[in-house]
Amino acid sequence: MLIRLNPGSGHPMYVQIAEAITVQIEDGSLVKGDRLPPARVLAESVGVNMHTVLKAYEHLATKGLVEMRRGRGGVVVRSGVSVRGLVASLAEAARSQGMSRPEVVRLLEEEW
Amino acid sequence: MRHGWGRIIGSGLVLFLVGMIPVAVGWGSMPDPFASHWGFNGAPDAHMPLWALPLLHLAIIGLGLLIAGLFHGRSGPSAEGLGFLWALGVLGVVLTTSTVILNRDAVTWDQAATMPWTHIVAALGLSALAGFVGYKVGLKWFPLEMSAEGSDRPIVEVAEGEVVAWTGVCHVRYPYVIAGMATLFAVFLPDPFRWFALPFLVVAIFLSHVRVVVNERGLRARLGGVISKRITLAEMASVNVIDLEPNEWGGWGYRMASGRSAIVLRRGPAIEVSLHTGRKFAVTVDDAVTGAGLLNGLLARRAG
Repeated sequence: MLIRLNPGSGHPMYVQIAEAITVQIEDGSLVKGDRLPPARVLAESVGVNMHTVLKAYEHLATKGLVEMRRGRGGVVVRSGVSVRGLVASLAEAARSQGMSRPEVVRLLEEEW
Repeated sequence: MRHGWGRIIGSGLVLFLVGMIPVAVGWGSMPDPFASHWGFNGAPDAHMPLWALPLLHLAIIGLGLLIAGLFHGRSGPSAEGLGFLWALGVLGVVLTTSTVILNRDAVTWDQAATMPWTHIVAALGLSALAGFVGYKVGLKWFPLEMSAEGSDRPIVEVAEGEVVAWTGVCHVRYPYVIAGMATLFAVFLPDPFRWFALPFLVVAIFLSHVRVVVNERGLRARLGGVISKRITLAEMASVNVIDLEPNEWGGWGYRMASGRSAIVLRRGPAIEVSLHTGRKFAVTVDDAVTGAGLLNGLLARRAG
């Protein structure tokens, strides 16, 4: 699991950690059933307090992305749908059918 | 690779049918019940109804199929799985043949001939040979497929001031299967030998899990939470993803040879670090591409 943090951004570290994990659930790098690394290991690897990581995990748990299990740590419980991936295949399908960009945007707006 | 499992099932079927040849030939000349087990002194000491003879062989084949199912590769069966199946199948064939020969023309089971040591040597020797041949054939039948994104020297860009870390694991189940089989086997042994399974259980827990952490300090790999290997970025010359073949690194486990060391839990993608000293270290881990890529990104940032 790849975690990228930006200490200078002003956002709290636990938010950034939760965000980094959310991105990976959304893009499919982490799928349902995957275990998150133990909080101690992740904390040590990015140089933060263990409680910061636990707070991030709890944040993900309240969002329903992760479940905290006794003795097993955090487990991903939801597989994300990659919006970016869907948009890419939408664009490809529209182009191959000769649909113009404004037409696709209008369809999208109708559905919204 | 769709036909991969067909070859496993086919092997199991052929090995079962071969074992049925001595059963069919000897059926009429065997006592019912027949002698099914021989003690340390070579004398028969247990018996079974005759109908159980084909089932014993079927159970051994079933165990082989189970192991082949557990020892699978990324997209199908593995060479190890085929080796285990052939080894167990041939063991079953030889033991069945031996049982038929020793029971032949006995009126009751306790009149069966004593087990000569040549039968035991033949069973173990032929089984080991079949396992080896099965493994070699398996390497041809089930070639390893590298994942599509697998490039030699991947890179994950790292920005200035960014804090990055990657954690990867490699978890394998076969040590538990081996420990479970050793335990089953140990149950049948007389008392002082019963502890025979214990080292297997310890090794199973120890050799089933490795965790790798990559961050700006470098790489750290921990095997079974006990043995730890640490390499700093300053020590690294380059990092690659390799398709690790355990035979080329001296086998499974924590391996050390002249000039290189490795933590090998399975065949397949591994992070390989080349040091400035010319030494190499490799560790099998899932998503090795990202781990190695991050190390290369960190090395690039370090170099400026």
